[in-house]
Amino acid sequence: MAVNFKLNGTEVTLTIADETPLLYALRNDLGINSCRLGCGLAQCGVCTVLVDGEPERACVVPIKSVDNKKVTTVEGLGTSESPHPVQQAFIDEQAMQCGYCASGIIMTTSLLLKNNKDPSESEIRDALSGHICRCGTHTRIINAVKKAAQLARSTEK
Amino acid sequence: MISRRKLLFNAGALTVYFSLNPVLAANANKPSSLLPRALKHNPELDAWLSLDKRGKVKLFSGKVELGQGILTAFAQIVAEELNVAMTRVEIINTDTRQCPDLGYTFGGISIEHGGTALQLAAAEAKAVLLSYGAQHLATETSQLSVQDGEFYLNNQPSGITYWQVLTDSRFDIQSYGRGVIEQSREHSIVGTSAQRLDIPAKAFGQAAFIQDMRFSDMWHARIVGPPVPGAALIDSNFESKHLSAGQHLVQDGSFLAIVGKREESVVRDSLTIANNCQWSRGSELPDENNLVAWLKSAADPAETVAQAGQGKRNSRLNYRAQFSRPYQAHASLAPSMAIAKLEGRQLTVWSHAQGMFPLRSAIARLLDMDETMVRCIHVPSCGCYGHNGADDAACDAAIIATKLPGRTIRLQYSREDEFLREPYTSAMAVEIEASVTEQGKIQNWDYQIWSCAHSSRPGGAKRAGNFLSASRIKKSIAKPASVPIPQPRGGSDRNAVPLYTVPNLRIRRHLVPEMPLRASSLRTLGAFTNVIAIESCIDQLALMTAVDPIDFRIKNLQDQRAIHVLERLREVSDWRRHAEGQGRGIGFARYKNSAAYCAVAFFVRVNKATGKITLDKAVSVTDAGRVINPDGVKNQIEGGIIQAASWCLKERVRFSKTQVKSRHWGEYPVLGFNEVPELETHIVNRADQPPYGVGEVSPGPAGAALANSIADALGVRLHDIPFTSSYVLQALHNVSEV
Repeated sequence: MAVNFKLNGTEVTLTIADETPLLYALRNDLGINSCRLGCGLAQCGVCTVLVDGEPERACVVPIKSVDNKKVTTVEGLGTSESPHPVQQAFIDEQAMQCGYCASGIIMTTSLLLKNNKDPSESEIRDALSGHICRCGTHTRIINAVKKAAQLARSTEK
Repeated sequence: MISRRKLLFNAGALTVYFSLNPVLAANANKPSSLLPRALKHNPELDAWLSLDKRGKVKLFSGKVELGQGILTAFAQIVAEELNVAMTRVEIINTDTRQCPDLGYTFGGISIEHGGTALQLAAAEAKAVLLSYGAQHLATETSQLSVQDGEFYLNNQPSGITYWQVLTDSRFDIQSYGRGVIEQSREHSIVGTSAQRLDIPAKAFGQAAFIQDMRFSDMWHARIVGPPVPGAALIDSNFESKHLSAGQHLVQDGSFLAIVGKREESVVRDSLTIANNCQWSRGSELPDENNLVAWLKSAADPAETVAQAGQGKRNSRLNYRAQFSRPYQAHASLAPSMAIAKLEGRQLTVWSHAQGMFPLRSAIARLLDMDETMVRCIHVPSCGCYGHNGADDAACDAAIIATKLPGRTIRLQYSREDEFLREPYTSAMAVEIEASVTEQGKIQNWDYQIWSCAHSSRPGGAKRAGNFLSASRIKKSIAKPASVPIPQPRGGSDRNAVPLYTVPNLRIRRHLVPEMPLRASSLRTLGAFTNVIAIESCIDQLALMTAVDPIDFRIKNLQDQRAIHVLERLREVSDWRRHAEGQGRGIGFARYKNSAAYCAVAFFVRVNKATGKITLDKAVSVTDAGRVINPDGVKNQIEGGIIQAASWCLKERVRFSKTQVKSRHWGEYPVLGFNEVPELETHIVNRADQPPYGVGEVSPGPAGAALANSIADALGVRLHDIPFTSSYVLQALHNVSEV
């Protein structure tokens, strides 16, 4: 069956098996890097993307379920020339060690800040509680989210 | 005409450039015996650095990026020594065809050894370039300086650059120790918190990891393996109905893999085949609830690794305790993977393992190939924290590639594969008996360790049997016998000798030779458990003599740098309980007793009704000598503290007699965003001291500080990791019964 959806603002059509996890379609058919395999069980948050603005674990989302929807990945947030505040904040705060968890956390953070312009530390921790960081970079990431909120507020003014 | 090369070897050049370094200048007419081993083993300067026509400096890295920021630090070192902008440095990841062989990237020694050698190589390259510059400008090198690769003659730009004087981009000489290292001079790049070079790509979703490599002829592969080590395939009669059209089943003895063009089909078929496989029972696993008893029953007789004094003296103030750690996993966030291709007789393997040269030798041995026909190239993945599944994935990809010549094979482990296949850190037990004088001086110290070996890497041809699949393929290689890592580095006994002054001391190690569960290196090896045991004991001795824990440590230390970090920690941590019921605890160690110093103070609260431990704050002070990148050091120290807290509070590989049960994050929980403490990280920069690596410095002190803070909050000491809430409740219950 053909599946049509908008990937980072661009219409795409794929003809692959209905049950193919979105993760593999994004990586192997559509050249997306940021959405990567972590656990395949929706436990670690590495492959988090937005589907119609809602966070989804791409490793367990069958491709057919995104038909006619909008999928956003890190590639759709910003670029090095025009970074999204969350991306800029992660660079400013050097909020990575290996950085493998970063893509999913950046997506979750972008959604958090859309709904809450000035999240408290406990709101940030709660929002990120579905993500695993194994390097122990948590406190930097929390600081980066605070910085991102600041950056986003200052660009709106 | 004197050739360029000959000029360089003339004494004149040497006396001009090298007189500033007395050690190297004394040996300037022959390769210095004091050159770091890494340079002696890789003497061609072109193996380390070359110039590139586009105005770049190529840095051929012998150490690999594991998320610790080593390549950024290396770029800083080269930019500093060569006087070029960091943007000119282009890094070539470790590649056995073109980089120096620096062995593994492990043990927190990359800066100490690799960085020092690289600095010398860069200084030497600069000396060589200066000699060419002087020749080109018909002047003396003493009249020249360099800014961003351009020669300045008497402080005026000459218009002549490195890239003009080294016309073929290659140095074509052997490293000799000609370089001038002036530690005291002003640094503009080294010592600054240069931003990590790899972070932007990771923030923007660019290709940044081995996972992002794609080849037009790439086929996906998954492994089908047993649920327990040592199991063999008994029924290999697979019907083709289990495979989708176009998929391949690769079998070699008990080694099974599914290969095909569509990743999701390969995943599906691998699950189907797994459900249709029968495996032999495999090794019987020990009782996960009685690991200490098992370790003691399975151990070889004791070996004494350190002894001092005339034996025990009587004391009224004795402390005796036993500590333990269960099997724990690296649990890297990305399941391991590798890419391999056999073209003709040439095998290329792209891997995220920690040592490309040892990997090359081991793969060549296992596959019976000439080592020169195997090329291993490092491409970063997620953090590994030691010997995880990376080497095995590389081996497995190579096995598959040799069965399907001409195809690029991308082998990806599943989450479950990684948990089942990775070697864990060995379970470990420690017994300690110590005494103290009434004046608070440690008197006796008797210490024993029971553990499997802490390294079983498939490093080099002789250790190819350490690949998991080495025993599964038909042309199998037996697993080599466990060999403990000797002191002073030590394996299970790393940091077992306390840095404190102890007149009567004995340290013994009992090796458990068998490995029902595969064990190998996890960050700090045995040091984590040893530092927790030592520092717990020190706190108890301080308590017995009613001395403040920081004072007690200082009183029993002679090393001034150790004393300094403790004094600093007292200052910066505001050393008191900050809230009702809060516990505070301290932990200190000098890593391997020979590298960086680190002291940590933890502040925690424990809910005595639920047993829940809340981590309020951890403050640390680290002295790692000269610091290349302060923010990079902080990042590593912070990561070590949080990972140690996770090991202490949450982690334990679960298993039954017949199989490992920790196969996903639900069965192996780690510390989460809702649980991590606030961190405050202080670095003592000692520009006049050699730099030490910091990757493994903080976990021991952090674990110890946490254990001591929990004991302080509860009034009861916990001895067996992990310190779960049910364990807290049990410990409180046991005390109330007494």
